[in-house]
Formats: sequence, C-alpha cells, structure tokens
Amino acid sequence: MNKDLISSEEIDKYVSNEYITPPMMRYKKVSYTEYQRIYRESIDNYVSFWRREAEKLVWNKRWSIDIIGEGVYTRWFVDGEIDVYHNLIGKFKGSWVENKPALIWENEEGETRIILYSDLLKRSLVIASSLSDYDVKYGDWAIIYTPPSIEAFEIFLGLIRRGVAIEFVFTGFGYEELRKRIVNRKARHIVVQDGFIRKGRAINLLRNIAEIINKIDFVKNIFVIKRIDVSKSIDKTVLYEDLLRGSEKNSKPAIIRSIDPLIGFHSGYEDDFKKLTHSAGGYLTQVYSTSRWIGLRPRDIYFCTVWPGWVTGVSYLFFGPLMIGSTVILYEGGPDHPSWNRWWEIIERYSATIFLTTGSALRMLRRYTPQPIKDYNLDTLKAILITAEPLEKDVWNWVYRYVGTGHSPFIDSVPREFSGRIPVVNLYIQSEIGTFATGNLINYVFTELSPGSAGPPIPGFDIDVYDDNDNPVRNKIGRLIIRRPWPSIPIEASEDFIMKWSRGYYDTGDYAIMNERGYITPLGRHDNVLKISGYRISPGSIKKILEEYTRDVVIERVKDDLRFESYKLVISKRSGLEESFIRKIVRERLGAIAEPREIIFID
Amino acid sequence: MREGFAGVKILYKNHMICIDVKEVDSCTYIFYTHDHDRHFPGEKLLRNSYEKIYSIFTGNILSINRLYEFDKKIMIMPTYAYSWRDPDYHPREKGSGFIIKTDVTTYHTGDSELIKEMSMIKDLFENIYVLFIPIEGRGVFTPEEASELVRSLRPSIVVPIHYEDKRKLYLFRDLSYVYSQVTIL
Repeated sequence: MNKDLISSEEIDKYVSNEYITPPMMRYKKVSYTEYQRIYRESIDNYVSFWRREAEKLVWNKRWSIDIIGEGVYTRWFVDGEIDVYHNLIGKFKGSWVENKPALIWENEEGETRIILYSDLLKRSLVIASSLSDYDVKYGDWAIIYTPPSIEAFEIFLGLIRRGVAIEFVFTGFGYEELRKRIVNRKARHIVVQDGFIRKGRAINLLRNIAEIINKIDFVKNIFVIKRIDVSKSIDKTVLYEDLLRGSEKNSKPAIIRSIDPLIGFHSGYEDDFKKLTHSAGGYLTQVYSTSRWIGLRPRDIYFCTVWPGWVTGVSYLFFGPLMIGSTVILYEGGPDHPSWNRWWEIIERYSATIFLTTGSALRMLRRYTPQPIKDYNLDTLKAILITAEPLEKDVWNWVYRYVGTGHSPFIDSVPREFSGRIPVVNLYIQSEIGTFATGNLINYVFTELSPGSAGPPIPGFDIDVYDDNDNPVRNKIGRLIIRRPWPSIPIEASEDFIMKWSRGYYDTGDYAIMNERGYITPLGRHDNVLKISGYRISPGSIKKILEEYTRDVVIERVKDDLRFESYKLVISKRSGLEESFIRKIVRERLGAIAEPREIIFID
Repeated sequence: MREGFAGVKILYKNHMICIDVKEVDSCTYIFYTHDHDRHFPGEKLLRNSYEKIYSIFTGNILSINRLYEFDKKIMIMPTYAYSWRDPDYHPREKGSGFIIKTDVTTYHTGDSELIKEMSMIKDLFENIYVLFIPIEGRGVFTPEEASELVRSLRPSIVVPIHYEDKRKLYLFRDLSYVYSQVTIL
C-alpha cells in the first residue's frame, strides 16, 4: 500500500496527542526523561543489556561469546547450552509455585478443569518418558495443531523435554496450510486434537490431517487428543492417554545448544507463508524478559485470548507465563457463544488479573457489549494488553473507560463516570521479532499512555521510523525499522527476510508514525501482505490455491471496520467458478480467516 | 452447586462424593454437615440411601475431631458460630466440616465461623487442594474471615459457597485471589 493513499482522516483515527496516566499506575510510572535514559543506555550497550537479561535464565553451560556475525546473520550466546524444560517449568520443582494452578481450562459449555504446576510437572515427565518409546528425539520437528488445551500443554512440555523443536499451526488454517508447514519442517511428529466446539459447532481437525497425511511419508507419529469423539482412524496414531501410561524413568532432559532451533513460525509474505526459526537461547531470553516487563508475575492469573499458531499465542501463552509461574486461563471456544459476555464471565469467575487480546476482538466486543459489562465485576484486572494490529483511539478509549474502570474507586477513578483505572496497553509484535518490541511496560519503564499508540520502543530494541531516504522521520508516515539485531533474530528464514535487511537495517514491512517522544503508531503494511484480524495473510497463498482453478484472479486489499483489513476477490466470469465454491476451497484449504469479504465476477 | 446453597459433588475415580446435596441419586458417598434446610433434604427423602450417608446426626454416625479411614481418609472437623446473635443457630456439636483425602485433599468447612480448631489443619494435612467455604456471614464466615482462613491454609483452589449477596462474593474474591485460585462456580 502506498502511504499517500492513507488519508488524514484515517491517520486521525489512530494518532493521538493526548497522554493519560491510569490511576493504578500513578505511583509506578517513570518520567519520560527517565525512560529515555534507560532506553538510550540499553541501545548504546545493547549487547551487555541482553547479556544481563540472558543471565536471568538457567544455563547448563554459560556462553563465552555474546554475539557473532552482523545484521541478519547475527547469532547470540552461541556456545551456551540450555535445558529449555527446566527454564519453562522444571525450575519450580519443590517451590511454592508447585501448589498453585498452572492452567485453568474452560470450554463453551462451561466445563472447567484446573491443573496445578505439580501435576503439570509430573504428567509432562511421564509423557516425555513415553515419547522416548516412540523415537521422539533431539533434532526432530513437531507440529502442534490444537486449540489451547491442558493436554496440548502437557505434550508440548514432553516434546520440549526431549529436545524437539516445535511449530504451532493455528487451528483456523485449512489442510493446505497445514500440509505446507509439515512439509517445510519435515516434521516427524504431529500433535492434533481431534476437534473442538466453537460457537456451538464441532470443528473437525482430524479430517484435515486425514486429507494430507497419505502424501507425507516422513511423519512417524500422530499424537491425538480426543475431545469430540471423531470416528476417524489414521495410521501412526498414538492416543494422548497412551502417553500417560508409564513412569518418568526415561525422561532425562535434553540439553540443547543456544543456537539450536526451538520454535518456528510461517510468516505471511507477498507470495506465500514462509518459515522462520527462532533459536533456543535468544528466544527464551526475549520471551522471559518481555513477559516480566509486560506485567506478569507468579501470582498473576492471566487470560490470553490469542490462540497458538500466532506469535502472541506461542510466546505469551506456552512460554512466557509458564516461565514466570503465572496461572494461565485457556478458553476453548468462540468469544460470542452463547453470548458476547463470555470473556467478561471468565475474567470474573477466575479473578483474572491480566487480560491479553487483539484489537479486532475488542472492536467486535465494543459493537455487541457496551452495557452488559456493567453486570460483571472485573476489579481484579490490573492491566489489559492489546496486540497484533493498529488500534483506533476510539477503541482504546472504549476499553479504558468501559472495561478498565471497574466497580471500586481507585485513587481518583470514579466508576460511575467511566474515568478509567487500569492501564490499557497496546503492544507491537511480529513473528520475525518473536516477542513484543514496543509498548508501555507495566513492570519496567511505564510512561504515560497515548490512546491508539503502541507506545515507545521496549529497551533493547533499536526501533525507528524512516522515510524513503532512510532518514528518521517524526510525526509523518514512514517505515517501521529495527537498526540492530535482537537476540531472537531468526536463525533460519526466507530470502524475503534477508532482503528486508538489504539497507543495513530490518524493515518490518509496517507503516508507522513516531512522534517526538518516540511513541509509535502502526498503520498497516507497506507491502501487499494483508493484515486481517491482526494476522498477516499472504495474498500469494490465496492466489496459488485459486490459480489451480483459474488464472484470472486479482486480490484487492480493502479496509474493514472490524478486522482492520480484508480483501476483494476479482475473478473472470470465464472461469465458470461459483462464489460458494470459491469460498469453500479458500475456507477448507487455507482457512476461514482468509475468506474474502467480497467476490466480484467481471467479463 | 446452586447459588445460596452449600452442596457440592466431587467426582473421584468413578465415585461421586456428595456433600450437603439434596439430590442423591448419583452419589456414592453422601456427607451432611448439619440438618438445616439448605443442607439436608430431610430423613424422608433419604430413606433408601442411609447406608451411603455419613454425618454426625444421621446415617453412619461419625464423631467430631476423629480421623476415619475407609478407601479414603476423612477428618471430621468441628463447626460452630460464636459471634452470631442467635447462639443456637450453629451451636457446637451440632454440625461438622469434612476434610477428605484421596489423591488430593478437599476441605468443606460446613457452616462455621472462623474457629481456633481450624488452625491445626496445616499440621495434619500437607496441602489443601480445594477449599469449599461459606462467605455470607450471619452465623458463618464473613468474607473477611473466610479470606483469613484462605491466607492461613493457602489452598490451591478456593470455591466460595453459600452466598446470596454478590457484593460479599466480590469482597471475598478481591481479598483472597492473591493467596489462592478463587473459582466461582
């Protein structure tokens, strides 16, 4: 998208000159000068800054070289060795954290399950031991294709214990995208839940595996979690229950190299989704640090509505909160079933303290639930975190005032006036970065909030906005860039990612405005990648599927009031395709998230 | 659990352990804390279930302050109210709480105020997994007292029961959630 096409009215929706200090943060915020000093120091000495953060992990062998290479080829903590499982939950053995809930799971019917850290430790060790019987070992890749469930966490931890690298695939993706990820990773193991109930309907995930598995011969095991009783038998199936039979005897932890692959994503580029891989040491360093900084502590009860497969749903669902020892609420279902009050109900019922969600979800909630929020008591919330996409000032204000005021006054917040009480923090994230990179940090350097803005850069991330001539630009649209490599810089990525470093810095592909204080307001992509409900969708992958049926396909990006962006599909009448057929193949092969808003047939 | 009531059903290895429930058909073991209306359905309705019932006043009679062992360990805890205006409402020896130890330990306090006998629980049981506790006041724990027990016992999960006033529920939750996972059923 050309920046000249972004109208001033459009910019005005996102950019604010207002600064707000929520009452709850009044005595915790730092001055802008203080922030600048800390940020400047972290950038001027970015290697020692991240070294100090890496030292907060438990290493089996400390690294001797902080950093080698440069730019896109930078590698961090290269000769270090680490037990990832220990850094995730192993370290809590024998501590007070063992007796607190690790995961609270609820589904649409209101069925609830709670598992303590002690049980999660025991079960994951038994599973790790069983996995050794199925030839699951260091160096393997596993694909996890499940909604957020306790069983998925247990198997995930078992795989981590065995030294396996993992890619989560969003359950909203269809079989073609799933196949692509399995093949690109040469994954020897797949973890799948047979299905789940969403908005009252059964979603069959096993069917997608069955559709592709016969054409992939290198997959050795398919670990199946049964939930909705799908009667589908697939070769190489091992049931979750079978993994729990046995003891912990073969659960010796894998100690892996810092630069070994740990987690993978497929990120949306113009022509397709392409793989990128994060290393163990760098990724864990960033995730652990940013999770603490955004506000998570062991006593927190954290509700994250982002599902695994997207970077937030991996870094801040499966890794960060566990590394800290927080309690994580998992909700297996849609936000609107049986009513749009579902998430408020969950926050109230389990005393959630931190709520993380997306701008798209809040746009929808705003539309459907202005009044009923008052029926719920959300006073335990101490922060609302928003991620994944540009956020309108109006949406921020709605969340701050309606959701964030609560019932009890706090300092000078008066509930009846909806004056706001807790911080509503917008954060910028990208799969390539691995973690949040901008935003006001509740537990570190919290400066005033600016509605709609994704805050100032997080210390350690050398972020700026450049014009077309590579000069920093303020209060004008420019390209959001990162000058220096971050610890979790991908160790494996496509040519596209390497090209984004061609001018000596990393171009994120996003437009943004940075104001004189360094606050950043993202405004969407400057390439052709679509940003739908916070997710980067590759227009090329949509085209590839449709071009199997017709060569005359044009994808036109359109603004969407709820999902930020969507697209219009222009197809030649000559193709003979019908709208229902096109929608079906996009939904089944690529995923429901990629369905076009409109299909236009032309002569 | 029904709002205002104190009844709970706990499924453990195909055994349904019921405490203060009125519908007993699915229960393997039935415990009653005392005979007040909202806890006990009356002798007539339980005619066919006596062998499954355990309490200090009906069915298999238990004694307060004793530890029983069948396929699980059950400790019978005293309950009483000492500060409520009607001394006969929840008197000593007329009600009990239950600590049930299976793989995990569950404590249903029964209708009680915060009493000194509860301070010994920590010495007897290593970790309370779930605590069911009334919070309404008026002869049982007030939200503040209930939270005091939570702070002392640090159960992994606490389920407030036996309340009608939601303000008391929120007060209890807001005082307790940093010490235990408050779960509102």
